[in-house]
Amino acid sequence: MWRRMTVILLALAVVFGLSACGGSKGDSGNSGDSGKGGAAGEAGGTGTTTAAAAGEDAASAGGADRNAKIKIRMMTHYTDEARRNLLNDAIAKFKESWPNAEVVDETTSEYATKEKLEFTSGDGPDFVTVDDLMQQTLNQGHYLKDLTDMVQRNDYIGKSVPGAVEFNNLRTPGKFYSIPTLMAPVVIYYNKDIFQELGVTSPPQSVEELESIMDKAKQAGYTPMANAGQSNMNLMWLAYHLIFNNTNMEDIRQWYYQKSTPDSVKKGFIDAFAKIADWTNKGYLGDPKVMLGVSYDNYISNLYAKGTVAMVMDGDWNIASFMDSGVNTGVFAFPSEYIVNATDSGWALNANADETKTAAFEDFVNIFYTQDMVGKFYTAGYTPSVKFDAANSEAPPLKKELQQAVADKKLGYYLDNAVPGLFDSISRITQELYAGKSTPEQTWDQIQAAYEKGLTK
Amino acid sequence: MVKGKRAWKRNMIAYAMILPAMLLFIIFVIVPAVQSFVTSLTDWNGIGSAKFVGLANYIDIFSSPESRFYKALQNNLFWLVFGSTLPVVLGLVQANLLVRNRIKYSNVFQMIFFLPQILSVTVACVIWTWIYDPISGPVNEILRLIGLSNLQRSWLGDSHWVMISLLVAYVWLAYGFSTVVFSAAIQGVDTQLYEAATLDGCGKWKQFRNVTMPGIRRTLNTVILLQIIGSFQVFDIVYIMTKGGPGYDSYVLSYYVFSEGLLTSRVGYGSALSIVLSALLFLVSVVYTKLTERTEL
Repeated sequence: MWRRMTVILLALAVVFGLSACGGSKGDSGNSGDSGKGGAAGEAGGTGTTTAAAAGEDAASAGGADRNAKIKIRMMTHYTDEARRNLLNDAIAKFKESWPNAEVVDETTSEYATKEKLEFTSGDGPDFVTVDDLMQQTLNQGHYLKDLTDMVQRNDYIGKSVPGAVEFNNLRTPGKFYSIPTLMAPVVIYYNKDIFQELGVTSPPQSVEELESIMDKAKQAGYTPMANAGQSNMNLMWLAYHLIFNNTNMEDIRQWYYQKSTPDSVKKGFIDAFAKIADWTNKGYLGDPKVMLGVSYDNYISNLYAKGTVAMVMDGDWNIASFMDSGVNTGVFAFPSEYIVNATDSGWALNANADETKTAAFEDFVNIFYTQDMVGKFYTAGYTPSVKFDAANSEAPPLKKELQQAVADKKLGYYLDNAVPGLFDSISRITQELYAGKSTPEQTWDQIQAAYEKGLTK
Repeated sequence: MVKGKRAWKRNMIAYAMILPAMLLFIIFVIVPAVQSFVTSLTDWNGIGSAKFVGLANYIDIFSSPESRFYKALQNNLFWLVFGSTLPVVLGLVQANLLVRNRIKYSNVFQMIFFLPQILSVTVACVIWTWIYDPISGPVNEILRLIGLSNLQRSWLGDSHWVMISLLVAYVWLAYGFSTVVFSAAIQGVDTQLYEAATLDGCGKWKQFRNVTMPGIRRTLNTVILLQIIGSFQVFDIVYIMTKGGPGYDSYVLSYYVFSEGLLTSRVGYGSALSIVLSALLFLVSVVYTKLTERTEL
């Protein structure tokens, strides 16, 4: 009898385990098709110098008990020190009106993986930041709350630069699941002293002019454009800009939003990779053997700060590091109509949040729409997507130069965010291109194969 | 039948003692393993519904042109050969020096050699990444200072050197454990055997070969087996230092599982990879165990 009972126990354990495996919630809900690719793409840049200031007293859900004792778990991508400090400021401000709320910040650099794991295990955080792809992924399991009413009630669209709020929600046309407050433009930082020595007095207005500057820098013994090859992001962003420059944006949107792969996109990628291979062979992008060992985390202090690099492509989030490098640094945008510049994630709410937490979320997001908080982000070097009068701000000159540079540029995509896992694939596939181990055509084939693997089914 | 019943009654207490551990083992090892296998037969992305695809994932792993399995396996085999032997050899030599040569303060030395083992792997790997930096890392800087600039390399960016560089960091982290374990094992060898060997005219090397090695054979086999298992499980060093790059030059199976399962959201495919990895590890362990048993006989 004991033997039989043991067998039954074991069998029950196996059956219990098997019944818990496999899919969780239902089929894809709001993911996928976005027919309105035009809005954000045609938006007029990320300039925050428009006069309209965000309202200080944005309306929030009435009737909420702000003295309620609640615990709010938060997970964001604000891993750098500057943004963590700003987030702490926002939390402190939030607790002024929600004194009994306990806010637990679980921010981590692996936030995307953690968010997915926690939501699928039924224990997702309350407030999260999500990019457009993560939003689509989580929406497959209906993990995020529909914030459309909140967006309309608070007029976040009117308070933001044109296209910003829609940009993060273009995969769910007509519905809003996240509310962005920052942009993430990629620009070209340059060594002003080197440019002066080369006789370059104004930013290049075309790719040919940019190439000419790189050639001059190479002849003068400098590294024209550096690339932290361990992650290869600088080179990836350069490729995206070249693609925007030679491909119709509407076709790119078809690819980015997983609708189709037009031939023009394939050609655009291959031509961009051919250009990169050519520039690499000419030595414009540094010695691949050396650069592939350079880490993105410290390349500014270890490489750029030595004063031997003419230019580097990087995001606004690193502006403080460039200012601290000791190099006389300027900034200009890539000479194309569109630049890599997407909303830097948006605030989203767990679908299971009750009325109190929903009201708390609304109040919390509204803090990021106050002129005071927007100004703090701007002064710290970030690019708010919220309209802001920067005329009297105390932002450093490099920051103002950056804002001016991107003001009339249109929003382009981080193309590696088209499908899950594509960033990792593009990073290493372009490393092989950079090292001369693959041709532009092979590079495209591998990227497209990785893209198709990650398509939402 | 009566005999069986008596055995159960006699051993009931013993079974009761091991039941909690067995339950934990079933819940946290057997059930997840079975779940993993079932998931490997689907195309689940971790969030939506799962569709049964049979052995398609396994076929993809071994035959798809996009599969990185063979490249990752090649790197793991490299790690198996050198990552299993170098820490063992170094640990054995060091332990023998410390114990047999009666070096003063050998306990302090043991502690120093063991220190890398207690360091956080993340911290150690970040430090090694800085050490290997091609622009301002100490390795290239020292080579330049001693007039060997032609030996400077991009240690983590050069496809010919990246695995060796990672291996050096791994050996540095791992050999301290071997040293401590072998020190304890050598101390357990009967000293009279060494005295007898000395009387018979055996030198240090012959004593090591004919007394020490047989005396610590079981420990040696266990440590090598642990290193073999470790060589297939290596992930943290690769993840922190190179993320499998440049390209796929330092790609290993465990990183492949992580990449497919978590980054690309191909949980079904990732589960299939983990099953294949487990099977490989099991096979290698069984072969090694059989070989060592045969040698002992």
